Amino acid sequence: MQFENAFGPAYSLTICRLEQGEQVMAESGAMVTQDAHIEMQTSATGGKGIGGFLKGLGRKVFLGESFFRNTFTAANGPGEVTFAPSLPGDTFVYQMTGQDLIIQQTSYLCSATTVEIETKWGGFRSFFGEGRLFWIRAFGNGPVAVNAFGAIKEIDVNGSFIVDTGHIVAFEPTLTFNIQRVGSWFSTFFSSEGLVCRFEGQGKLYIQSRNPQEFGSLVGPKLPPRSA
Amino acid sequence: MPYEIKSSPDFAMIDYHLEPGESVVAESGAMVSMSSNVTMKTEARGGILAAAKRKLLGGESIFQNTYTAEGGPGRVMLAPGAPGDIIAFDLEPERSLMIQSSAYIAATPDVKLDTKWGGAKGFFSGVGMFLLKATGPGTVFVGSYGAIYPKRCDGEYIVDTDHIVAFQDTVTYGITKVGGIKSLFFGGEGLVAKFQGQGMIYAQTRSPSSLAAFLHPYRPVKSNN
Repeated sequence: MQFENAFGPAYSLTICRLEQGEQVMAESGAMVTQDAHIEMQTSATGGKGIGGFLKGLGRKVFLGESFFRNTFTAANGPGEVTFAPSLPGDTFVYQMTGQDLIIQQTSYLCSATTVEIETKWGGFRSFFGEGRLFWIRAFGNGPVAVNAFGAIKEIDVNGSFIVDTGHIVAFEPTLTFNIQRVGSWFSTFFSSEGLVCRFEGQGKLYIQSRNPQEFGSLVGPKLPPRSA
Repeated sequence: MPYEIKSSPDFAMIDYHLEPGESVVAESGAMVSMSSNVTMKTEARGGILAAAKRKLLGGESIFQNTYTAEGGPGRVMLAPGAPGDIIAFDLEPERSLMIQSSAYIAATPDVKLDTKWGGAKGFFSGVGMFLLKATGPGTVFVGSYGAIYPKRCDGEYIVDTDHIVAFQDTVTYGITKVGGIKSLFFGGEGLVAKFQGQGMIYAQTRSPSSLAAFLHPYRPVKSNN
Protein backbone atom coordinates (compact mmCIF):
# COMPACT_ATOMS: atom_id res chain seq x y z
CA MET A 1 0.00 0.00 0.00
CA GLN A 2 1.25 3.42 -0.97
CA PHE A 3 0.05 6.81 0.26
CA GLU A 4 0.99 9.83 -1.88
CA ASN A 5 0.44 13.37 -0.66
CA ALA A 6 -0.45 15.45 -3.74
CA PHE A 7 -1.26 19.16 -4.19
CA GLY A 8 0.18 20.27 -0.85
CA PRO A 9 0.57 22.48 1.00
CA ALA A 10 -2.71 24.36 0.39
CA TYR A 11 -5.21 21.82 -0.95
CA SER A 12 -3.64 18.45 -0.31
CA LEU A 13 -5.12 15.19 -1.53
CA THR A 14 -4.01 11.80 -0.23
CA ILE A 15 -3.87 9.25 -3.05
CA CYS A 16 -3.94 5.67 -1.70
CA ARG A 17 -2.89 2.90 -4.06
CA LEU A 18 -4.03 -0.49 -2.84
CA GLU A 19 -2.88 -3.95 -3.89
CA GLN A 20 -5.52 -6.61 -4.20
CA GLY A 21 -7.03 -7.45 -0.80
CA GLU A 22 -5.63 -4.36 0.95
CA GLN A 23 -7.86 -2.08 2.99
CA VAL A 24 -7.76 1.56 3.98
CA MET A 25 -9.90 3.17 6.68
CA ALA A 26 -10.90 6.84 6.47
CA GLU A 27 -12.73 9.53 8.33
CA SER A 28 -16.38 9.65 7.33
CA GLY A 29 -16.99 11.98 4.36
CA ALA A 30 -13.32 12.21 3.33
CA MET A 31 -13.52 10.22 0.10
CA VAL A 32 -13.01 12.34 -3.04
CA THR A 33 -12.64 9.75 -5.82
CA GLN A 34 -12.18 5.99 -6.11
CA ASP A 35 -11.96 3.19 -8.63
CA ALA A 36 -15.42 1.74 -9.11
CA HIS A 37 -14.43 -1.78 -8.06
CA ILE A 38 -13.31 -0.71 -4.58
CA GLU A 39 -15.87 -1.67 -1.96
CA MET A 40 -16.84 0.53 0.97
CA GLN A 41 -18.24 -0.49 4.33
CA THR A 42 -19.26 1.76 7.20
CA SER A 43 -18.53 0.86 10.78
CA ALA A 44 -19.12 2.51 14.13
CA THR A 45 -15.98 3.74 15.89
CA GLY A 46 -16.99 2.01 19.13
CA GLY A 47 -16.21 -1.48 17.83
CA LYS A 48 -18.11 -4.39 16.33
CA GLY A 49 -21.76 -5.28 16.85
CA ILE A 50 -24.58 -3.47 18.61
CA GLY A 51 -22.39 -2.78 21.66
CA GLY A 52 -19.92 -0.95 19.47
CA PHE A 53 -22.72 0.92 17.80
CA LEU A 54 -24.07 2.16 21.13
CA LYS A 55 -20.60 3.00 22.39
CA GLY A 56 -19.97 4.97 19.20
CA LEU A 57 -23.31 6.70 19.51
CA GLY A 58 -22.51 7.65 23.10
CA ARG A 59 -19.27 9.22 22.00
CA LYS A 60 -21.08 11.11 19.27
CA VAL A 61 -23.68 12.47 21.67
CA PHE A 62 -21.44 13.24 24.64
CA LEU A 63 -18.13 14.06 23.06
CA GLY A 64 -19.22 15.42 19.67
CA GLU A 65 -16.71 13.30 17.86
CA SER A 66 -17.12 11.54 14.57
CA PHE A 67 -19.11 8.36 15.01
CA PHE A 68 -18.50 6.41 11.84
CA ARG A 69 -15.52 5.55 9.71
CA ASN A 70 -15.47 3.95 6.31
CA THR A 71 -13.32 1.06 5.17
CA PHE A 72 -12.38 0.74 1.50
CA THR A 73 -11.31 -2.68 0.22
CA ALA A 74 -9.59 -3.52 -3.05
CA ALA A 75 -11.35 -6.88 -3.15
CA ASN A 76 -11.17 -7.46 -6.91
CA GLY A 77 -7.70 -6.31 -7.92
CA PRO A 78 -5.46 -3.31 -7.25
CA GLY A 79 -7.05 0.11 -7.12
CA GLU A 80 -6.95 3.71 -6.05
CA VAL A 81 -8.95 5.80 -3.60
CA THR A 82 -8.33 9.46 -2.72
CA PHE A 83 -9.17 11.42 0.43
CA ALA A 84 -9.21 15.07 1.47
CA PRO A 85 -10.06 16.91 4.69
CA SER A 86 -12.75 19.60 4.77
CA LEU A 87 -10.50 22.60 5.41
CA PRO A 88 -7.62 23.92 3.28
CA GLY A 89 -4.19 22.74 4.34
CA ASP A 90 -1.45 20.20 4.10
CA THR A 91 -1.37 16.49 4.86
CA PHE A 92 1.55 14.35 5.89
CA VAL A 93 2.03 10.62 5.74
CA TYR A 94 3.49 9.01 8.87
CA GLN A 95 4.88 5.50 8.55
CA MET A 96 4.04 3.37 11.57
CA THR A 97 6.65 0.72 12.32
CA GLY A 98 5.45 -0.53 15.68
CA GLN A 99 5.60 2.82 17.49
CA ASP A 100 2.56 4.89 18.51
CA LEU A 101 1.36 8.24 17.24
CA ILE A 102 -1.18 10.37 19.08
CA ILE A 103 -3.37 12.35 16.66
CA GLN A 104 -5.69 15.20 17.53
CA GLN A 105 -9.08 13.84 16.45
CA THR A 106 -9.97 16.30 13.65
CA SER A 107 -6.51 15.79 12.10
CA TYR A 108 -7.05 12.09 11.39
CA LEU A 109 -7.66 11.48 7.67
CA CYS A 110 -7.00 7.83 6.78
CA SER A 111 -4.80 4.83 7.55
CA ALA A 112 -4.00 1.32 6.39
CA THR A 113 -6.09 -1.22 8.32
CA THR A 114 -2.80 -2.77 9.50
CA VAL A 115 -2.67 0.32 11.72
CA GLU A 116 -4.94 0.09 14.76
CA ILE A 117 -6.92 3.20 15.57
CA GLU A 118 -8.13 3.66 19.11
CA THR A 119 -10.29 6.64 19.99
CA LYS A 120 -9.71 7.79 23.51
CA TRP A 121 -10.99 10.54 25.60
CA GLY A 122 -8.21 12.76 26.80
CA GLY A 123 -9.61 12.76 30.32
CA PHE A 124 -10.48 15.72 32.46
CA ARG A 125 -7.17 17.42 31.94
CA SER A 126 -8.13 17.81 28.25
CA PHE A 127 -11.70 18.75 29.00
CA PHE A 128 -11.48 22.44 29.62
CA GLY A 129 -13.88 24.78 27.83
CA GLU A 130 -12.62 25.60 24.38
CA GLY A 131 -9.39 23.79 24.94
CA ARG A 132 -11.07 20.41 25.01
CA LEU A 133 -9.23 17.88 22.95
CA PHE A 134 -9.91 14.38 21.76
CA TRP A 135 -7.13 12.07 20.82
CA ILE A 136 -6.72 9.11 18.54
CA ARG A 137 -3.98 6.61 19.29
CA ALA A 138 -2.56 4.96 16.15
CA PHE A 139 -0.30 1.94 16.53
CA GLY A 140 0.83 -1.03 14.45
CA ASN A 141 2.43 -1.03 11.02
CA GLY A 142 1.68 0.91 7.87
CA PRO A 143 0.94 4.45 6.71
CA VAL A 144 -1.39 6.94 8.39
CA ALA A 145 -2.31 10.30 6.82
CA VAL A 146 -2.73 13.27 9.13
CA ASN A 147 -4.12 16.61 7.96
CA ALA A 148 -3.63 20.16 9.16
CA PHE A 149 -5.51 23.42 8.81
CA GLY A 150 -2.81 25.46 7.05
CA ALA A 151 0.81 24.36 6.89
CA ILE A 152 2.37 21.60 8.99
CA LYS A 153 5.53 22.19 10.98
CA GLU A 154 7.50 19.33 12.46
CA ILE A 155 9.22 20.13 15.76
CA ASP A 156 11.85 17.95 17.40
CA VAL A 157 11.13 18.45 21.06
CA ASN A 158 14.01 17.92 23.43
CA GLY A 159 13.06 19.16 26.88
CA SER A 160 9.82 21.11 26.91
CA PHE A 161 7.74 23.01 24.40
CA ILE A 162 4.43 24.87 24.52
CA VAL A 163 1.71 24.76 21.84
CA ASP A 164 -1.66 26.47 21.78
CA THR A 165 -4.33 23.75 22.08
CA GLY A 166 -5.90 24.71 18.72
CA HIS A 167 -2.64 24.18 16.84
CA ILE A 168 -1.79 20.58 17.78
CA VAL A 169 -1.89 18.03 14.95
CA ALA A 170 -0.07 14.97 16.31
CA PHE A 171 2.81 13.90 18.53
CA GLU A 172 4.86 10.87 19.42
CA PRO A 173 3.89 9.45 22.81
CA THR A 174 7.47 9.58 24.04
CA LEU A 175 6.26 13.09 24.85
CA THR A 176 4.00 13.68 27.82
CA PHE A 177 1.74 16.67 28.01
CA ASN A 178 -0.24 18.83 30.38
CA ILE A 179 -2.90 21.36 29.62
CA GLN A 180 -2.07 24.52 31.52
CA ARG A 181 -2.63 28.22 31.69
CA VAL A 182 -0.04 30.67 30.43
CA GLY A 183 0.57 33.80 32.39
CA SER A 184 -1.71 34.83 35.24
CA TRP A 185 -5.44 34.22 35.66
CA PHE A 186 -5.83 37.69 34.23
CA SER A 187 -4.13 36.52 31.01
CA THR A 188 -6.31 33.43 30.90
CA PHE A 189 -9.43 35.56 30.72
CA PHE A 190 -8.24 38.46 28.66
CA SER A 191 -5.34 37.48 26.40
CA SER A 192 -7.14 34.77 24.36
CA GLU A 193 -4.00 32.71 24.86
CA GLY A 194 -5.59 30.99 27.84
CA LEU A 195 -4.95 27.29 27.53
CA VAL A 196 -1.87 25.70 26.12
CA CYS A 197 -0.39 22.25 25.93
CA ARG A 198 3.00 21.85 27.54
CA PHE A 199 4.96 18.91 26.13
CA GLU A 200 7.88 17.32 27.97
CA GLY A 201 10.43 14.75 26.84
CA GLN A 202 11.95 13.82 23.51
CA GLY A 203 10.02 13.17 20.33
CA LYS A 204 8.39 14.68 17.28
CA LEU A 205 5.53 17.11 17.51
CA TYR A 206 3.47 18.30 14.52
CA ILE A 207 1.67 21.63 14.62
CA GLN A 208 -0.67 23.43 12.23
CA SER A 209 -0.20 27.07 11.24
CA ARG A 210 -3.92 27.93 11.58
CA ASN A 211 -6.46 27.24 14.32
CA PRO A 212 -9.85 25.94 13.04
CA GLN A 213 -11.76 27.46 15.98
CA GLU A 214 -10.27 30.88 15.31
CA PHE A 215 -11.33 30.62 11.67
CA GLY A 216 -14.84 29.52 12.65
CA SER A 217 -15.11 32.42 15.09
CA LEU A 218 -13.95 34.83 12.39
CA VAL A 219 -16.43 33.78 9.71
CA GLY A 220 -19.36 32.35 11.71
CA PRO A 221 -20.70 35.65 13.12
CA LYS A 222 -20.94 37.05 9.57
CA LEU A 223 -23.36 34.30 8.55
CA PRO A 224 -27.12 34.50 9.05
CA PRO A 225 -28.30 33.04 12.38
CA ARG A 226 -29.22 29.36 12.53
CA SER A 227 -32.07 27.95 14.57
CA ALA A 228 -30.88 26.48 17.84
CA MET B 1 -1.97 30.69 -26.87
CA PRO B 2 -3.69 34.02 -26.25
CA TYR B 3 -3.89 33.45 -22.48
CA GLU B 4 -1.81 32.51 -19.46
CA ILE B 5 -3.08 30.97 -16.25
CA LYS B 6 -1.26 32.77 -13.47
CA SER B 7 -0.87 32.14 -9.71
CA SER B 8 -1.85 28.50 -10.17
CA PRO B 9 -2.70 26.31 -8.29
CA ASP B 10 -3.87 28.10 -5.13
CA PHE B 11 -5.25 31.37 -6.47
CA ALA B 12 -5.32 30.90 -10.25
CA MET B 13 -6.32 33.70 -12.58
CA ILE B 14 -6.74 33.90 -16.38
CA ASP B 15 -4.70 36.63 -18.09
CA TYR B 16 -6.29 36.83 -21.54
CA HIS B 17 -4.54 38.79 -24.33
CA LEU B 18 -7.01 39.93 -26.98
CA GLU B 19 -6.08 40.81 -30.56
CA PRO B 20 -7.82 43.93 -31.94
CA GLY B 21 -11.50 43.04 -32.36
CA GLU B 22 -11.14 39.71 -30.53
CA SER B 23 -13.56 38.75 -27.72
CA VAL B 24 -13.82 36.45 -24.73
CA VAL B 25 -17.06 35.65 -22.91
CA ALA B 26 -17.14 35.36 -19.11
CA GLU B 27 -19.52 34.55 -16.29
CA SER B 28 -20.92 37.66 -14.68
CA GLY B 29 -18.63 38.73 -11.82
CA ALA B 30 -15.49 37.03 -13.12
CA MET B 31 -13.69 40.16 -14.36
CA VAL B 32 -10.76 41.23 -12.17
CA SER B 33 -9.17 43.92 -14.32
CA MET B 34 -8.86 44.96 -17.96
CA SER B 35 -7.24 47.48 -20.32
CA SER B 36 -9.25 50.64 -20.83
CA ASN B 37 -9.81 49.91 -24.55
CA VAL B 38 -11.63 46.69 -23.72
CA THR B 39 -15.39 47.12 -23.89
CA MET B 40 -17.89 45.02 -22.02
CA LYS B 41 -21.25 44.04 -23.39
CA THR B 42 -23.79 42.26 -21.22
CA GLU B 43 -26.18 39.94 -22.97
CA ALA B 44 -28.30 36.89 -22.50
CA ARG B 45 -26.36 34.57 -24.73
CA GLY B 46 -28.41 32.39 -27.07
CA GLY B 47 -31.48 34.53 -26.45
CA ILE B 48 -33.35 35.23 -23.25
CA LEU B 49 -35.17 31.87 -23.22
CA ALA B 50 -32.02 29.78 -23.47
CA ALA B 51 -30.42 31.99 -20.82
CA ALA B 52 -33.40 31.67 -18.49
CA LYS B 53 -33.26 27.90 -18.88
CA ARG B 54 -29.57 27.95 -17.99
CA LYS B 55 -30.36 30.07 -14.94
CA LEU B 56 -33.22 27.86 -13.85
CA LEU B 57 -31.59 24.51 -14.47
CA GLY B 58 -27.92 25.32 -14.33
CA GLY B 59 -27.81 27.88 -11.56
CA GLU B 60 -25.56 29.92 -13.83
CA SER B 61 -26.18 33.64 -14.35
CA ILE B 62 -28.66 34.65 -17.03
CA PHE B 63 -26.23 37.25 -18.28
CA GLN B 64 -22.82 36.72 -19.69
CA ASN B 65 -20.33 39.47 -20.33
CA THR B 66 -18.46 39.71 -23.62
CA TYR B 67 -15.13 41.54 -23.48
CA THR B 68 -13.82 42.92 -26.79
CA ALA B 69 -10.57 44.75 -27.54
CA GLU B 70 -11.39 47.91 -29.55
CA GLY B 71 -8.89 49.82 -31.68
CA GLY B 72 -5.86 47.79 -30.63
CA PRO B 73 -4.80 44.80 -28.56
CA GLY B 74 -6.20 44.50 -25.04
CA ARG B 75 -6.01 42.41 -21.94
CA VAL B 76 -8.60 41.11 -19.51
CA MET B 77 -8.03 39.16 -16.29
CA LEU B 78 -10.67 36.75 -15.06
CA ALA B 79 -11.02 34.80 -11.81
CA PRO B 80 -13.59 32.50 -10.18
CA GLY B 81 -15.08 32.98 -6.70
CA ALA B 82 -13.31 30.25 -4.73
CA PRO B 83 -9.59 29.86 -4.01
CA GLY B 84 -8.18 27.17 -6.25
CA ASP B 85 -6.98 26.19 -9.70
CA ILE B 86 -8.18 26.78 -13.27
CA ILE B 87 -7.97 24.56 -16.32
CA ALA B 88 -8.32 25.64 -19.94
CA PHE B 89 -9.95 22.87 -21.95
CA ASP B 90 -9.67 22.90 -25.76
CA LEU B 91 -12.77 21.66 -27.53
CA GLU B 92 -12.81 20.22 -31.05
CA PRO B 93 -15.88 21.13 -33.15
CA GLU B 94 -18.99 19.33 -31.86
CA ARG B 95 -17.12 17.88 -28.87
CA SER B 96 -18.31 18.82 -25.40
CA LEU B 97 -17.20 19.24 -21.83
CA MET B 98 -19.80 18.77 -19.09
CA ILE B 99 -19.20 21.35 -16.34
CA GLN B 100 -20.58 21.51 -12.81
CA SER B 101 -22.38 24.84 -13.16
CA SER B 102 -20.57 26.87 -10.49
CA ALA B 103 -17.18 25.82 -11.96
CA TYR B 104 -17.73 27.64 -15.25
CA ILE B 105 -15.67 30.84 -15.67
CA ALA B 106 -15.24 31.81 -19.32
CA ALA B 107 -15.09 30.64 -22.93
CA THR B 108 -14.04 31.79 -26.39
CA PRO B 109 -17.01 33.23 -28.33
CA ASP B 110 -17.66 30.20 -30.58
CA VAL B 111 -18.22 27.87 -27.65
CA LYS B 112 -21.91 27.01 -27.26
CA LEU B 113 -23.22 26.77 -23.71
CA ASP B 114 -26.30 24.77 -22.89
CA THR B 115 -27.85 23.35 -19.76
CA LYS B 116 -27.76 19.64 -19.81
CA TRP B 117 -30.83 18.29 -18.13
CA GLY B 118 -29.16 15.61 -16.08
CA GLY B 119 -32.48 13.80 -15.85
CA ALA B 120 -34.29 12.79 -12.73
CA LYS B 121 -31.17 11.06 -11.39
CA GLY B 122 -29.33 14.33 -10.82
CA PHE B 123 -32.35 16.39 -9.88
CA PHE B 124 -34.26 14.22 -7.46
CA SER B 125 -31.41 12.49 -5.70
CA GLY B 126 -30.93 15.63 -3.64
CA VAL B 127 -27.30 16.12 -4.62
CA GLY B 128 -28.09 19.41 -6.31
CA MET B 129 -25.81 18.73 -9.22
CA PHE B 130 -26.44 20.85 -12.27
CA LEU B 131 -24.38 20.63 -15.40
CA LEU B 132 -23.56 23.00 -18.20
CA LYS B 133 -22.61 21.57 -21.56
CA ALA B 134 -19.89 23.52 -23.41
CA THR B 135 -19.57 22.53 -27.06
CA GLY B 136 -16.66 23.42 -29.37
CA PRO B 137 -14.91 24.69 -31.31
CA GLY B 138 -13.04 26.82 -28.81
CA THR B 139 -11.58 26.92 -25.32
CA VAL B 140 -13.53 26.82 -22.08
CA PHE B 141 -12.14 27.75 -18.64
CA VAL B 142 -13.29 26.06 -15.46
CA GLY B 143 -12.26 26.68 -11.86
CA SER B 144 -12.13 24.53 -8.74
CA TYR B 145 -12.20 24.96 -4.98
CA GLY B 146 -8.78 23.55 -4.13
CA ALA B 147 -6.54 21.74 -6.56
CA ILE B 148 -7.73 19.84 -9.63
CA TYR B 149 -7.12 16.10 -9.73
CA PRO B 150 -7.27 15.04 -13.39
CA LYS B 151 -8.17 11.42 -13.98
CA ARG B 152 -8.55 9.47 -17.21
CA CYS B 153 -11.60 7.26 -16.86
CA ASP B 154 -10.98 3.93 -18.51
CA GLY B 155 -14.03 1.81 -17.77
CA GLU B 156 -15.52 3.00 -14.50
CA TYR B 157 -14.61 5.62 -11.91
CA ILE B 158 -16.37 7.14 -8.88
CA VAL B 159 -16.28 10.77 -7.73
CA ASP B 160 -18.08 12.24 -4.73
CA THR B 161 -20.73 14.58 -6.17
CA ASP B 162 -19.41 17.62 -4.25
CA HIS B 163 -16.00 17.15 -5.84
CA ILE B 164 -16.97 17.08 -9.52
CA VAL B 165 -15.57 19.94 -11.62
CA ALA B 166 -15.99 18.74 -15.22
CA PHE B 167 -15.84 15.68 -17.47
CA GLN B 168 -15.77 14.91 -21.18
CA ASP B 169 -19.02 13.95 -22.89
CA THR B 170 -17.43 10.63 -23.85
CA VAL B 171 -18.18 9.40 -20.33
CA THR B 172 -21.68 8.92 -18.98
CA TYR B 173 -22.59 9.19 -15.32
CA GLY B 174 -25.17 7.90 -12.91
CA ILE B 175 -25.86 8.88 -9.31
CA THR B 176 -25.40 5.88 -7.12
CA LYS B 177 -24.70 5.03 -3.51
CA VAL B 178 -21.56 3.40 -2.23
CA GLY B 179 -21.59 0.80 0.49
CA GLY B 180 -24.74 -0.57 2.07
CA ILE B 181 -27.80 1.24 3.35
CA LYS B 182 -26.01 1.99 6.62
CA SER B 183 -23.32 3.87 4.69
CA LEU B 184 -25.94 6.00 3.00
CA PHE B 185 -27.23 7.30 6.32
CA PHE B 186 -24.20 7.21 8.55
CA GLY B 187 -21.12 6.95 6.39
CA GLY B 188 -20.96 10.54 5.22
CA GLU B 189 -20.26 9.45 1.64
CA GLY B 190 -23.77 8.48 0.56
CA LEU B 191 -24.30 9.53 -3.00
CA VAL B 192 -21.57 9.54 -5.57
CA ALA B 193 -21.33 9.87 -9.33
CA LYS B 194 -20.28 6.73 -11.13
CA PHE B 195 -18.73 7.44 -14.51
CA GLN B 196 -18.52 4.97 -17.36
CA GLY B 197 -16.62 5.13 -20.64
CA GLN B 198 -13.35 6.64 -21.79
CA GLY B 199 -12.47 10.27 -21.12
CA MET B 200 -11.08 12.87 -18.76
CA ILE B 201 -12.68 13.62 -15.41
CA TYR B 202 -11.61 16.58 -13.25
CA ALA B 203 -12.17 16.45 -9.49
CA GLN B 204 -11.58 19.26 -6.97
CA THR B 205 -9.69 18.49 -3.79
CA ARG B 206 -11.98 20.53 -1.51
CA SER B 207 -15.75 20.80 -1.31
CA PRO B 208 -17.69 24.06 -0.69
CA SER B 209 -20.37 22.03 1.15
CA SER B 210 -17.81 20.66 3.63
CA LEU B 211 -16.57 24.16 4.35
CA ALA B 212 -20.16 25.30 4.92
CA ALA B 213 -20.74 22.31 7.22
CA PHE B 214 -17.61 23.20 9.19
CA LEU B 215 -18.75 26.81 9.61
CA HIS B 216 -22.39 26.00 10.46
CA PRO B 217 -21.87 25.52 14.25
CA TYR B 218 -20.12 28.91 14.44
CA ARG B 219 -23.17 30.77 13.14
CA PRO B 220 -24.99 32.88 15.71
CA VAL B 221 -28.09 31.21 17.13
CA LYS B 222 -31.40 32.82 16.23
CA SER B 223 -33.07 34.32 19.29
CA ASN B 224 -36.79 33.90 19.69
CA ASN B 225 -37.51 37.39 21.00
